[in-house]
Amino acid sequence: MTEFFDVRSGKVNGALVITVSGEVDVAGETQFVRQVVDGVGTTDAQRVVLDLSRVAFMDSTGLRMLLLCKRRAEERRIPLTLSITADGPVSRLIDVSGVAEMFQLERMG
Amino acid sequence: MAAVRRYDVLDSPPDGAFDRITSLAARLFEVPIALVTIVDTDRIWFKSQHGLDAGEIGRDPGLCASAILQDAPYLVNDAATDPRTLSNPLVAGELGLRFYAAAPLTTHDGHNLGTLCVIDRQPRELTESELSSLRDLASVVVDELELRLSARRTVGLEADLRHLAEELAGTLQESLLPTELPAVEGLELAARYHVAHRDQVGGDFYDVFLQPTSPGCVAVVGDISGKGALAASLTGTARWALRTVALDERAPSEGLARLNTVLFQAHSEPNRYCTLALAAIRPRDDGGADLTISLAGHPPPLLVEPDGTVERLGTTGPIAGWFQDPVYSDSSRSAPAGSVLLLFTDGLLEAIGGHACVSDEPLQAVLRRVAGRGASEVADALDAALPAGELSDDAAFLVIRVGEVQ
Repeated sequence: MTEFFDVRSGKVNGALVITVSGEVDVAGETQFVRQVVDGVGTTDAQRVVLDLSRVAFMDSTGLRMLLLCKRRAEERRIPLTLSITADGPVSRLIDVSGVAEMFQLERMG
Repeated sequence: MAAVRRYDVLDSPPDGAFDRITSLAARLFEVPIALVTIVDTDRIWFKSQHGLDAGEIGRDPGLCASAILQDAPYLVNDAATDPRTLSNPLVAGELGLRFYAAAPLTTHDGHNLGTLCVIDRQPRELTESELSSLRDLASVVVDELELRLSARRTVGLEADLRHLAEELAGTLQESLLPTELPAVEGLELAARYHVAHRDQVGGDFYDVFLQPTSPGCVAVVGDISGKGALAASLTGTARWALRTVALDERAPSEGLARLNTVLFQAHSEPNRYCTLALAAIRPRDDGGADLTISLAGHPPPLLVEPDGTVERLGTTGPIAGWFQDPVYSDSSRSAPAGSVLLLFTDGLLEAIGGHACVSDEPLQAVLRRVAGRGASEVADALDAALPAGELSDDAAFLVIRVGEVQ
């Protein structure tokens, strides 16, 4: 299976931390669902942090994936935090899409 | 004969695989001549020939023509004494054929297409084991023919499917876009749509429509997440829902809120959404226009004034179709005569700014150079700024110039 971006996950103080780096677009949809969305949907952690600060590009497919993560987290009633770079590509996408208020965001300078 | 045509072997170019079989047969049976022949209505055609140099012969002499009429190998040990062949011109003539053995090329569905035959100028006998070798070689020839047929069919089928997909995509896309922009008094319009992949329906769309009593028009550019049939059906829903909502002449933000409700309730797969820029453009008597814009998760449209100032318009609101009750707001602005409003999808940012570009600065730079020009000129300038070759994403844009062209 082709990898379009890099995904690492681990547990930190009871939180599942999933770090994504690289480019997330329509080509990597299947990989994102398998490695990130399903990860959020099956975790036994108390909360989830998606670290997207090293994502270089994300298109509308990526946004849909983030929305799916949020939906999975809500179904399991666990908080989901997105860790993003202020002014980075994910920040811009979230702002343009008008969904900043829907997520718990941690913007790093 | 239909079988011969089906295998598409008549007049096809000489083929290495068949030549190897005839040369193998000649060596195996120690004969000077070995042929793969295909029997057509009026001629015998040599698919491969070893030790002979003729493209085809008439069907009349009849050796191969007789050979394919039976399913077992056809054997003539000494043609000069055999009553079936002694008067045959190939026997009596220059070739001086004396020995002829042919195994029919029988397809899996029982048709004899022609023969694999070995020929000698000396009379001779064939053992049972040699006969079965000839039959085996003939079936190798048939396997090769069948292989070619299935490969050719697969390629043909793929081409047909691709053509059909492109045709469907084209037709569908046409039904999702206006075939012609309306004429709007006091405005000049131009629209362009660049598809990244011809065999896929894109998720971008645009539309311009008039309202019953208000002057000017309503313009929309949108982007449905995803591609293909699902995106197309959502595009259709979005486009026609907007047209219906616009009949009520409400503010763009209310149009988006209603569209959100329709999309939220309508689509069967819940993880799709749509981004839109919706603008009401009302020309004034002084040649300028009043603009009202509302955004649903869409990059803000750009307004280019005649002096070259470029400004982003609209306040961000949430994507449409995902959340139950999103709030949209309107931004209004007066545009002087000669201004150009550009509504576009994010594919244009990447097309003009390069891979992974989300900034509209490169686009703004192109627009500044054509400030004050007409809508078609601006559209041409944007087209010219696109890279050559296939785009990585669809790009759609709508140019609205305030004030009639002089």
